[in-house]
Amino acid sequence: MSEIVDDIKFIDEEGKRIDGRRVDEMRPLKIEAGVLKRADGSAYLEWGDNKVMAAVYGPRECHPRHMQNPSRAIIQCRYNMMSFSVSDRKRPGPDRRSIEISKIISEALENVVFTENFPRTSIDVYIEVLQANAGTRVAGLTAASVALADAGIPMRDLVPAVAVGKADGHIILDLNGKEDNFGSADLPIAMIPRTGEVLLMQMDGHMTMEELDLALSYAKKACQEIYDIQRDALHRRYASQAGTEDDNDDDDDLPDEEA
Amino acid sequence: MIKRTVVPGEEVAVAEEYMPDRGTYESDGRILSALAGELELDRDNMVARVLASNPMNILKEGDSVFCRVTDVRASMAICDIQGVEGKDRTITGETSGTIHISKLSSEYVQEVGREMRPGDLVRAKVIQTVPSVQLSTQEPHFGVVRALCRKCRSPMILKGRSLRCEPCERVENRKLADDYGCVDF
Repeated sequence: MSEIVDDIKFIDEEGKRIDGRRVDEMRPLKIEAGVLKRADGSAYLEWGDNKVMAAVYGPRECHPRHMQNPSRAIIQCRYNMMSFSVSDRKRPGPDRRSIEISKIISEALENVVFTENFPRTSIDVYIEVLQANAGTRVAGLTAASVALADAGIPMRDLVPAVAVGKADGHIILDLNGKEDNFGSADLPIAMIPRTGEVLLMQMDGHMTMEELDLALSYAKKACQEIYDIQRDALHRRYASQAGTEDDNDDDDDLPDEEA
Repeated sequence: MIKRTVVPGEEVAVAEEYMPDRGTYESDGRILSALAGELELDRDNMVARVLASNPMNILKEGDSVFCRVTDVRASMAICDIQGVEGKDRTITGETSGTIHISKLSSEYVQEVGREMRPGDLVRAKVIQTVPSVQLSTQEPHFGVVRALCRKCRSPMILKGRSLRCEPCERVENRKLADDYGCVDF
C-alpha cells in the first residue's frame, strides 16, 4: 500500500495535477434543477466523476410526531450512496459515515432555510450519490440547496460547498478520488459567498495555519464560482418554464382577437 | 412594476426604498429574495415581493379539498386532508381537519354517523385555517364522493338519493356531493 502512495506524484514540474488541473482549479461542474416530476423540488449534479441526485419534499406534516418542533420546521436529510457508486460494491443502507453526512448537511441547511415559518413540519431532503469520486458530501449539499430553492422553500441564500485538501505538500482545490485517498488532508467547506458565513467545515489530516488560510482563500473563490453555477441552473429552469407559460398565453389570446 | 426572475439570496432592492414582503427579507439594509421566482417591485405600496415559480401548497379559506374521514365523534367528523382539488403538490403544514355537525349539511343533522362514516372520501371546503383547520360540506357540490359499505367494504353505488351496496343489498345514507361516483382523482 505504502509503495503506491510513494509512487504517485500529485503535482508535476509544471504545477499540474494528475488530471491536468492547476492547484486552484475545480473539476467541471454541471447542475440541472427540477429533474424529478414527483418530488416538490429536485436537482441533478455532475461534478467531475461525481453524479448526485437530490430531491426535496415538504414542508409537510412531520412523522413521527414526537420529532415535530412546535416553533419551527425540522430538516430531515438522508444522504445515501448507491451500491454501484464506487468501484467495490458498497453495502447498501445507512452506515456510520452516511449518518454523519446526513446530519451535517441537514444542520448546514437549517441555517439558511426560514424554518420558523413552518412550525411542526418537516422538510425532507434525499441525496442519492449515483457515482462517487471524492467530495460527495459537498456535491450533495450543493445539489440539495438547489433542490430546496426549486421546491419554492424560502431560504436566506444558496449554499455552495467545496473540498480543499493537501497532497504532496501542496494545498489543492476540489480533490479527486486519488488525491482524496492518498493525500494528507481533506477539508470540506460550505460558505455563503455574499456574507462569508461558513455553514459546514470538517477536516481530516493536518494543515498549518498558513496552509489553512490558503485553503480557505481557495474555497472562497471556488464557492463563488459554484454559487454562480447554482444560480444559473435555477435561472435556466425558470426561463424554460416561463417560455412554456408564454406559449400558453399566446394560445389564449388568439381566440379573443378573432372574436 | 418591474418583473424579473430571481433566486434566493439575490439582492432585489434597498431597504430605504422598499419594504420586504412575501418572498423577500431584509439584511444589512438590503432587500434580498428568499425564493426562486418572479420579482415584483410594487411602486404603489413600495413593497418588494417574490412569487415562487413552484409555490408551496398552503391551505387557505375557500380551498376545495379532498379528505378521508378518520373518526366520527358526537359533534364532528375528523378528516385527514389528502390534497387540494386541482393541485398536485402535497399540503404544507397541518393535514387534519374537522367538519362540525353544524357545517356538515344544509339540512338538520341528527347524528354525524348518519352522514359520514370513517373511510369515506369527502370533498370539503376550507372555512378556517388558524388555529385549526375547519371544513364545511354544506353546499351541494361538497360531501361524500366515494363511500364503502359498512359490512363488506365494497364501493357503494348511488341509487336515487341513497347509496346501495350490491353484494350485501344494503342501503346507507350519506351527505353526498352532487357528483358522487363520477369524481376523477
